Amino acid sequence: MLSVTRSTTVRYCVIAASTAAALLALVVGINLVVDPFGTYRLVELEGVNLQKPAVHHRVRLVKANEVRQVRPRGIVLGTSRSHLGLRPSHEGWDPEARPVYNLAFDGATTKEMYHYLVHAHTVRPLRQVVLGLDTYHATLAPATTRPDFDPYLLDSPGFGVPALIRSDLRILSSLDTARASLATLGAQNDRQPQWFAADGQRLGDVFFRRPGEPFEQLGPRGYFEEIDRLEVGFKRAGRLAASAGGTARPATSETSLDYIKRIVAFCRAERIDLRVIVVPEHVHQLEITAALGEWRAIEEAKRAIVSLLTEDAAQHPDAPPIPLWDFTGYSSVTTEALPPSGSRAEMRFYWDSSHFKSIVGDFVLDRVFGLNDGRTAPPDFGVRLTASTIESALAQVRAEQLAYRRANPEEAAWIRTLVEGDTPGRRDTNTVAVGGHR
Amino acid sequence: MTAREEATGDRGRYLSHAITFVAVVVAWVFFRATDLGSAIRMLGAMFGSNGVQLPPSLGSLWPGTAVAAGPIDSGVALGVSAVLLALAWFGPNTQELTGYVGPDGANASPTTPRPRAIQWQPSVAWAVAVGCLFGAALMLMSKVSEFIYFQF
Repeated sequence: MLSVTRSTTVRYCVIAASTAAALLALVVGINLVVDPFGTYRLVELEGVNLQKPAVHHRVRLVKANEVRQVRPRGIVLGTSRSHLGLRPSHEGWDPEARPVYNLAFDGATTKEMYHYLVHAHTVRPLRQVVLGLDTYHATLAPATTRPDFDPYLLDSPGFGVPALIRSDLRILSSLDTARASLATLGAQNDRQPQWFAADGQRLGDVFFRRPGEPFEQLGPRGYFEEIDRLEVGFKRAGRLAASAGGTARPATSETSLDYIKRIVAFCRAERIDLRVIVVPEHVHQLEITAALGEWRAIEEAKRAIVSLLTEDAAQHPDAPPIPLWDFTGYSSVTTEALPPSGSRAEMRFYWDSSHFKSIVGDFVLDRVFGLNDGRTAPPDFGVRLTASTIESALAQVRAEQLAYRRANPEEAAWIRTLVEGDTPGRRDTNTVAVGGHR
Repeated sequence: MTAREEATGDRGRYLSHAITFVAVVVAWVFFRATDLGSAIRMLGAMFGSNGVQLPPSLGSLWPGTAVAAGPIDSGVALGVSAVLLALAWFGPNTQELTGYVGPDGANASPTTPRPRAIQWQPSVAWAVAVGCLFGAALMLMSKVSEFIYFQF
């Protein structure tokens, strides 16, 4: 056995610790200067770190930091649909709620929306929030978060550990950040159009029209159909996951709907003007859901949101009720026809069946804020849902659905064949359904 | 000990290593699985009951063997696993690195002592190496995950 003196031990430990500290200091320094996520912007040099491609795949981290920089008083919460479609610069926002920041991001869950709401309010008290929900949010599925959600990036009351330690130093000393810094240094000649606006909105006109993007390669019509195909897979996978997990869940786990309740309760307690919307997906999304036998889930989701807002209103009779606007359904906006086959013409209202354009977002916010600033939203677009209107509204949608299918038999048939798996590679408008596999 | 006896002892030791390794790998499945049925299904899959597919990057090595479809290519992972397995089996363990033998030599390594070059010393070189490993370990503790999924 090797014999070691005390002085040797102390020297050994000091050298080892100093080496580790020096290595970390070097990495922190490099990451601070290169700043791959655009957090600090201390040094911005052409050819070194001006292009920051790492931002695009870590939107949750970037937005958590941008909230600290922008200090908004109004925010948008939601998924990529709200991220793309709802303008923080819309004229209808309360002037006291400016600046407004679009805090929506891809695949946002209600649990994540709640935590980002608390974060934004902790940074600076909020005045106004627009909550953009998809119908799948208002369910009893367990509340979840995505892989890049990190609660330690977010501020909240009573969070004892300073952000400098739990967020800044932790991220700066991370090997992932070092990798991102190296990738940033190597990507300076690859100039990508910037689709991430300063107010947090994703600019669809830039994002979809980047060279090499599927929207450009397939054309608007081809891209729309491709998203429909993917949507069938996503919904099927979600249905399989739900059935595999069974209906039993641990008594202590919270659901996605529970976090909507938390958001409502938080805004009430903090006197934040909350406006809730169900975002306007194209009817192809509704038809896919119906073809998968999940139509009832959409109606139950809307009933659930109405129920919790009704309960909230009953608990706060002296305050205005929180409004719920439903922009799904079979309106003249959501039933927009696809471009002719072979055409590269764009749709007016939609990028694909999931994502609406800013013009539709403006119609939405016009309704939500009661604004009519030269734009005229189609009268059949959007309905206020309350306990007294929900059932008639749902019946109306069902009637419109039947009318849509009668008027658009090809569309309905295309969706059915997509779901049933017997679909051609690209749609032949002269063919309703084709047997065989792609 | 004769050369023959030594060779037989070595073979026996390697065989016992392999048996122990397989036993531990099988046992781990039962610890990790949610229930007995899942464990048995997993073991069946591990022993080929669901067929065998090569990752796309290794498909050319055994022509005629099915190649896995899907976006994930596990070829690199298999390669890394093979290297790590070799390191675990044939590399020095901490007792051999540090020369620790325990009370009355109870924990002494039964194999021939490793070359002095790889034995730990309280030297500057070892201190720097360990410091670098410690720093790297701290850097690996923080994940900054990506999310690459635009759809929702």
